[in-house]
Amino acid sequence: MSGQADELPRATRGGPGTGIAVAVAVLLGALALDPVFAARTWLLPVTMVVAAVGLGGVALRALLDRLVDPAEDDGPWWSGPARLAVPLGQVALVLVVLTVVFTPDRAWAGMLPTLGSLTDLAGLLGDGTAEIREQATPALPLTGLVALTTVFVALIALAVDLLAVPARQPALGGLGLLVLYCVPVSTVTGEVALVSFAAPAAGFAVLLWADQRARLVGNGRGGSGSPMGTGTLPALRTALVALVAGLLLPAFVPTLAEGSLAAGWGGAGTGNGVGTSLDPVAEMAGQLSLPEPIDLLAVDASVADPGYLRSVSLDEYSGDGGWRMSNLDGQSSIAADGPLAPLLDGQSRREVTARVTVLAHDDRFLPLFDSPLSVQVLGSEDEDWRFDPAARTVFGRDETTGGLSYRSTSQQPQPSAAELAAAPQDPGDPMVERYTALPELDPSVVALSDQLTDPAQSPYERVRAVLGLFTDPANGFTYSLSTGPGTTGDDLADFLRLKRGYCEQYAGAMAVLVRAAGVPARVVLGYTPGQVGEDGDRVVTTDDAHAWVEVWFAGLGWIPFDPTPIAADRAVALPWAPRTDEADTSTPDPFTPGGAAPLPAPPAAELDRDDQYVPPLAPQAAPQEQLRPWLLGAAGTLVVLALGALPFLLRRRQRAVRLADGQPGALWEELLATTVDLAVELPRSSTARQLAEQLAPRLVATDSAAVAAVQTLARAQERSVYGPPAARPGPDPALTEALATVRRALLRSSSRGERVRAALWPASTLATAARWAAARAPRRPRPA
Amino acid sequence: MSGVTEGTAELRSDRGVTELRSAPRHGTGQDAAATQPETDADADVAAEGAQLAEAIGRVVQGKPDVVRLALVVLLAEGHLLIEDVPGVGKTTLAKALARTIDGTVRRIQFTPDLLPSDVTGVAVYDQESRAFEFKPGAVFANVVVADEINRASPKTQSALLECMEERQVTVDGVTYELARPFMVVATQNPLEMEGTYPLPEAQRDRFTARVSMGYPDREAELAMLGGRATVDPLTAFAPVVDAARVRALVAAVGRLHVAEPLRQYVVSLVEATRRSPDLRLGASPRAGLQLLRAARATAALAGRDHVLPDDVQAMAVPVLAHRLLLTPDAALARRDAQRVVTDLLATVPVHGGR
Repeated sequence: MSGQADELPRATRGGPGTGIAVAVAVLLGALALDPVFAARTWLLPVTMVVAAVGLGGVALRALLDRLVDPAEDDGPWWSGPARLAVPLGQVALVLVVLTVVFTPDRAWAGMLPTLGSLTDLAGLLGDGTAEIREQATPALPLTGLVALTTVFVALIALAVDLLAVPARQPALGGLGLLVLYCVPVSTVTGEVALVSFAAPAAGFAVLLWADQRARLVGNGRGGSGSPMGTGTLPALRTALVALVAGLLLPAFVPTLAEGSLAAGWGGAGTGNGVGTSLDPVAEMAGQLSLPEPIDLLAVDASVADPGYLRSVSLDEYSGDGGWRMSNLDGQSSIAADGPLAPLLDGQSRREVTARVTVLAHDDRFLPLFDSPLSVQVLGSEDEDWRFDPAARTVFGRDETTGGLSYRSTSQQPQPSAAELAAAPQDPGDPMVERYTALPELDPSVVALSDQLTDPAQSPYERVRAVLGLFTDPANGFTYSLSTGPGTTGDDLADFLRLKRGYCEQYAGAMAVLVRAAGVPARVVLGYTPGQVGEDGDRVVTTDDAHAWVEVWFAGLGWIPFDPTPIAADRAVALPWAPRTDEADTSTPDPFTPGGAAPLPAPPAAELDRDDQYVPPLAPQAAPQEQLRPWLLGAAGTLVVLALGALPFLLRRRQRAVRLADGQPGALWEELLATTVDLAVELPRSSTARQLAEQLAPRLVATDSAAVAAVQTLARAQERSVYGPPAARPGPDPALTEALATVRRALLRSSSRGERVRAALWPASTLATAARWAAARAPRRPRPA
Repeated sequence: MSGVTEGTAELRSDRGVTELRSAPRHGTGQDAAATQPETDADADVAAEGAQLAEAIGRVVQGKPDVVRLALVVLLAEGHLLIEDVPGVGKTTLAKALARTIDGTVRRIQFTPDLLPSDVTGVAVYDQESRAFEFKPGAVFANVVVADEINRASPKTQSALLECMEERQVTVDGVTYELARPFMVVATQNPLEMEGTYPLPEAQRDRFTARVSMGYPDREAELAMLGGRATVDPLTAFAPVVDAARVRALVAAVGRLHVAEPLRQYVVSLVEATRRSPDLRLGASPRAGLQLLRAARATAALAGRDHVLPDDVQAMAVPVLAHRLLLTPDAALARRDAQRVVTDLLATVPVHGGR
């Protein structure tokens, strides 16, 4: 004890334990991202970079300490700049890991980054930023997105490492974990899983514990230095406080719109409210408004009956939310070589080419005839139009269809009923698992499905049975612009009981029943091909918006079915799915020349041709305005910068106030604050003259006059505090001058890094804030 | 000053000595106070303290810290407990201290058969005057050297300890005031424990400070062999100040300014001993009082008109350590009270200082 008290211990940096603790803490913090992603493939690269930062830091610091004796104040001239080598080395390690994982192709030996591989990486990160805006949570772990996440976590690990190890402010490192925690909180809809919350809290506890332990052991008060030593209890307590505060605080904080990684598709559907774009949702209940139709597209197709114009598929059914789109995979664009979505071999097909001129249509999704082979968009970059092969959707990245025109070549499946009937049931097909997923259904729906279908039937028979439910007039389903008022609380069960609705309900209900029967299905949104205008082009209007069903048959792919009783002039002939209500007439064969027999008019009273579905009262009321993520980001950066500059400004102000005061006490306070800022460790139990003595060895090296000056200051401070009131010294310019001398000498005796940190991140201000908080916190009479 | 020399004769062999320079209450004590006012405003404690220290230092060589502490206790009107092995100069220190201030000094060699009345004095019936006459005991002196205090029976120890605290003696209903300055310098031999009644820790609280002499360094011991062999330095010793002057110095010490933050610091220190997990018994309020007094004296000796936390820190170990009781665990861990106090000094923040 006495030996330590005599000499002035240099500020010790955190040991290797702290570095490893940082890595563990950041990893725990990164676990908060778990609910953000749909799969855990992001975890491995993130673990690798965090390990690179943590272990790399430990190794580099150990190496540096071996080269530069840390006990020596005046190392070689390069010892100061050498400290910078640690973060630079960590950045280099992170780059190597990123190269190995993401862009090894053009890297040197597959490991060392080259200009080419770095360019690839930059491109990947660019993709990632676009994917952020396209993905809703839980997001698909697309490569760009994972790369971006990895870089993000690596930056946080670097920041936490810098704060916790050289700057010894691990509590501030908790801010990094807080940032990680904020990601799921601000992006995941609904409740955030406990892991997002508990893991960063545990990480924070790890940080505090490691640091506390390092400090105690460093002071020789660590007792045994065992893992359950003195520091554990405070660390646990702090973590608990953080946990409770984290649980309580959100209740008082205004929340942001949730649900997407960035602004996402938030405003895509109902943005203009006049139906020039589609809302990628199929509700099981609602009401349609019927504005005056607007011409959306002019279509010049190579065939007379081109079929549906397909925009987007909805493949996720949640009982109360209806059908929704899952995340789009935008990793490839329409510029890619080869056919986009070729049909399976041996399938009956016909080729359709079309030239589409966009009139009023303005949507992210490109309406295309199924199944697209190639698309050329005029007036826009091909790279901006991404293609999701699973959804067979072409969508714009920061682009909409407004004012464009495009050409497309498609292959339309034309299966015969015999082909479909022969399609086997293949339970092992991954498509079956993915596209038959359903939440728990209302018992009446399950009962209906069991009654309609039999597992012994072929998939096609089952689909026909379900289709028959909606199309057989005997079953009493009627078209209506609004669904009936339900009583069961389940919109689907209500629709199946009341049998009133429009295309969304018909398509949604059929897809659910088909899935319930064990056959993969999804809902598709798009347009019926419209009416032929005077110039021979088909004109698609808002009234042509439609929803139908696609069913997956092994060996045949996605085949459209349409359960909605729509007007005959809009209906698209699907010979493999004849409507039961048409069955008594000869099914028209559109592909037989002259075979266009007049279709019986559907019940006109119920069937309204205006089958476009713009829910006037969108219940989910997504944020209407397109958020500007970049503006928000810039504003956030400014706020962070302002917050970061706050300690600096506060410290400056405090200094000015104390110097203006000029009392010995104020000047002494300022001197002590300077030592705290420069991480000169002085025991709190020292008296003024002891402190002056303890500072002397440090000062004498740079300015021997400063030793006298600090003693002058100490004596003045003593007299002002302990002296008789009559003899207390007042403000004295000589004292202010002495303070300036000491301060100069102190600064000169510190390394450049210490000076910068003292200016930007003054520990004394933070300590004052902490004391202020501690003084107001309830305290136990006897601290443990 | 031959009288003083005789006055230091051992009590056992000279129990009936009456030659006292400082008489009891009804004697010359009050007169001395009257002739020289104790509120001597221009008492230069530092200068006179330095003279005293220099004079004592000529006898007790190589022990400036111990000499200084003895002076501090004198100026703080306290009592000193010296714990050390025999022959390191405990008695010499006491004698030198007494002689520099030109006061009376009595030495009591404590033995198991020593009676309380030997210490305090006794009223005896005078056949001629047919009245009880008070024969003052050994405590009626400016400096009382209580040698091997742990050898006497607890009853006798208590009698002395009571005098120390009360600074008066009551025999047969008559109260006799003791001389001023009055200082007991007790010695204890920490090694020899057979047949002794060690002072209970609670009793040690009466002593302002405990000090151990320690062996002199090599040069001092050499010098001592050279000088002592021929002449006892005590014989060629002239007093520097008289008792009245000491009273003035004590008064001057009492006038030192003690700032509020310093009082808070003292209280914090004392409280810290009570909270320390190493201690079974912390410091008493009296300990705090005596710590502040000792700090005052230290500050005065340093020539300051105000007390600093440094003074408190300098006095904390000698004033506090002997009053503290370690827990069995701390004792097993071979910690001692001095170490505990040192550690507390390193943790208790100095109020006002920072």
